[in-house]
Amino acid sequence: MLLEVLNSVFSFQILLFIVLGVFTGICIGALPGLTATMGVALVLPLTFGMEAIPGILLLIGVYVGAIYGGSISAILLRTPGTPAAAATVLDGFEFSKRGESGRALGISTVSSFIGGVVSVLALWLISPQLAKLALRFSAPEFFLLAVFGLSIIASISGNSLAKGVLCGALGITLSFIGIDSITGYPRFTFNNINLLSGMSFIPVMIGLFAMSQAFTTVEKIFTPDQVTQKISKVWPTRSDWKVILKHAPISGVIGTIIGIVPGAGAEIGAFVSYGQAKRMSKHPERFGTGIPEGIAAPEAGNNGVTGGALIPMLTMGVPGDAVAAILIGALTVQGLQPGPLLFTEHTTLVYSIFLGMFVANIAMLLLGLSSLKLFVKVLSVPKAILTPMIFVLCVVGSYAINTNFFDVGVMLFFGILGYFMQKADVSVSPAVLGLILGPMAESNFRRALLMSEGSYTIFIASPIAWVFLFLTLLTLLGPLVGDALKKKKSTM
Amino acid sequence: MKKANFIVSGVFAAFAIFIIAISMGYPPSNHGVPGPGMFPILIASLILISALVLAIQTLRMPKSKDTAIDLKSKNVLNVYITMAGLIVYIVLMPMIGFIVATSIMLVLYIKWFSKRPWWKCILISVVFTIAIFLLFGSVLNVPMRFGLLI
Amino acid sequence: MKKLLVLLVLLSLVLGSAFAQGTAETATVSYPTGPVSVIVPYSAGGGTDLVARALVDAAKGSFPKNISVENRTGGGGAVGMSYGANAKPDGSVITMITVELVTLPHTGTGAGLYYDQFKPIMMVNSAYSAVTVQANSPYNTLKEFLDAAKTKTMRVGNSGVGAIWHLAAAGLGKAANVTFNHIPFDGAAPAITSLLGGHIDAITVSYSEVASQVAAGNMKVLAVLAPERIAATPNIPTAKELGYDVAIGTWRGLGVPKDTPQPIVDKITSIFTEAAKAESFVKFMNGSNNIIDILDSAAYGKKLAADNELFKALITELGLKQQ
Repeated sequence: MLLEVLNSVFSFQILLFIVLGVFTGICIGALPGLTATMGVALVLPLTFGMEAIPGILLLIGVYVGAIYGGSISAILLRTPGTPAAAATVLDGFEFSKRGESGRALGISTVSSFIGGVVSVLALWLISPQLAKLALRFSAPEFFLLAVFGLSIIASISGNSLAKGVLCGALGITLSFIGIDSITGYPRFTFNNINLLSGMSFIPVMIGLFAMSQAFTTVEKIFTPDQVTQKISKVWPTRSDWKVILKHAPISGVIGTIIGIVPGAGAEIGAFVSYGQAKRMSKHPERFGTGIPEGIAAPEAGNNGVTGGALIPMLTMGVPGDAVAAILIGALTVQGLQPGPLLFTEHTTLVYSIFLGMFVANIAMLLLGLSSLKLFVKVLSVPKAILTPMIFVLCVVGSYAINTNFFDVGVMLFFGILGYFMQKADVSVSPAVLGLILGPMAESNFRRALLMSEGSYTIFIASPIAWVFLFLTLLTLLGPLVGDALKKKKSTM
Repeated sequence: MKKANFIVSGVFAAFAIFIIAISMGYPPSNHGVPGPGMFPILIASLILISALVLAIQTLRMPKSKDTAIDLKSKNVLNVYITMAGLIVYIVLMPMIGFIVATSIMLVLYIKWFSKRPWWKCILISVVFTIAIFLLFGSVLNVPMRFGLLI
Repeated sequence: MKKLLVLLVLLSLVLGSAFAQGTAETATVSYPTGPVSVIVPYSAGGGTDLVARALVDAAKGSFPKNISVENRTGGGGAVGMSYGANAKPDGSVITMITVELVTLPHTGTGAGLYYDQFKPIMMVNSAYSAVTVQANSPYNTLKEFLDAAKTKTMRVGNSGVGAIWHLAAAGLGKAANVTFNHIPFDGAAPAITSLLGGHIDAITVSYSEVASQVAAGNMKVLAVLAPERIAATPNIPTAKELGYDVAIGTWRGLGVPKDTPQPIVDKITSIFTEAAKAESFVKFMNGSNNIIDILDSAAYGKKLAADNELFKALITELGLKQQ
């Protein structure tokens, strides 16, 4: 068995496919508007004519690469290449402002690798046990998970909590637009067909982050560039390694667990990891100013999701996220049914996927580290030329997601809005978080009550629900209790 | 800063009232299951409360923390012109076609921002536009052909 | 400046591959005269998208000037189908039309879409609802399940409110004179997961979507809501034979704008009829549990009209019409 697996992965052809997949994934991930899901879907038809193992490993390579690749544009251009990198923007872009983009990319690459490896190990060693966890999640648990995620708004609000809540609530309100998923009632659509399916998340994100930043750059477009990027060292320093080794493995575990939960993807894994790192930190106030923890945690978190998402897929035939859903399609086309039988009937394939995914993470590390200097070169383009090019990337990126010009208008609207929000010192990230988690919270709250026929006890009926309730209260009340304790100490 | 905070709080409060007004007309709850209007009203109320908190915090903010926000200097006017130009660009692009509209947009902005000679601006713009067109259109299969020209 | 040049050269290198794809064959027929696009109103990688891509792949030899799949998503399919219905009637835009064409107009979210805006080319595939419960469920037949539903409110999961599997469950409830507690999910997969976890009592999604769970012994199908037994599963009875007169399912097919000239329609029909017989397409459909179900233009047109009436009545009765 072992030999078969080693043979099937360590052949020139398979290794080549993995590396090609990872490379394609990094490029797709780095381009704004092209998500990991789209990347995998674009490559999928190529695998129809292939054998099962190379085909699926090519797709997994794209997946792993794309989740990592999103951080490159997030750090360099404040443009999250994929939603998974939205949390990386917070600290990552601050590094580039200081001219330390090389350092930031190095931390991101190594952390992504660690997160990925942690999740592959979990997939390899304990996936059957973990898989059962996925089935324990029903509507009330999803609702409480979303609320827990939203409580992170408290830690990414910048200077004013009130402004953070305003902005987060704005994001949730945007998510109401479109057909209500529980009753089918069209809300805030104003009879516009483009609003029926709701506000597209990617154009809003590109507008709020990238376009608003480009406008801010225009303010100083005629003053010469002052920051020169230090690209000499991308390999993290000793002190950075300390931070990475402290945070990346934990975030990898968090990401893996988020990945297992069906319907919660890499973007949520990244934000939850960021919030966790901030809670653990001795200096939470420095998050958002460009510290290594702010990159290590979300990047390890989102790549941790990659392995986690495959756990329910391989063990039960249930997708952990949108990419896993496509991978199920890819396996069925090959005549393979993901599910419990896959482990017993196609053992070689399953273990080849584990090993191949491990190799994909190594390929990501090597490709990442060797090409970082090339990526940083983007920033050596003078901003007077780079800024208009970013305009084009924002426009094409938001068009590409649905091939709809309406989305381009949405992007520009939120770009302008984001610019003025920055002026008023309102952090935009809570809006993105609200847009991601709002629908999950609302639909599952109402679905839970539909299932329980109106009884609210369903929200405290399971141990998982209690865990999330406890974590949420801890996040919201923890700082208050901490302050009170400090005061008590100082008066004593 | 104070003025900006009051504007933020006022705009959000107005927005919240607008949301609540619309949501009131949505179908009611059904057998204990909240209807489509409940969450919008709940979240809009949260916006109202936060806007109020922000307004009170700002009132009590010491003068020393009150920093000026630049909305009228020449640099900011450049941003407004840029925004206007981009609005024109995205309105016209679907009619004109991607390559022509984007090349022209890029040439004008790069010339304005960088003051490089025209031929350099045109070269950079056209090469970049075609590169993006081919990357998204041919390699990634995003339909990029629309409009009268290319 | 030098660095900028380096960047541009790099970009061009990456893009060089794009040029390699161009093929130059000469067209010998009057159709197609230019590139053709097939509109898929759902996102890339989904069930409808995969069937469309496989079919287009099998037909691409007949399109020397290139044929490509375009995903135009939004409005539960309304955006893409409206785009396709209002395209130039010259065969340059073919649309993958699905059952939502005859359900969305009645739920009030079709944004002006109506089935007569299309001239049907052919139906390609169909899938009927399968009433599925957990393997360890106490109900072994449809009758036991429906009789139990008279005293206990059954939670039946579907793929979205007003979506076809919701209508299927509602149609079954109507035929058996029981009321279900319909639980909508965002797509079929989360509904299946929820049944697997025992959080709901049954689901009414298509057989192909639960086939792997049935094979693994996690779920059992009580009946299919099909007019006849499905060839792949001859042991599963239809609801009709059990005395509940209901047959509801989804289908996918091709359509062109209604003003398209007949010669072009005939040409497209013959191209895709051939493509649907291609070995690669048949293999794909069987491998992915999709049932090939070909109807020609006339028969498909009749089905569109009949289903339109069926769903109009059902949706009105369920009170699913919005605004």
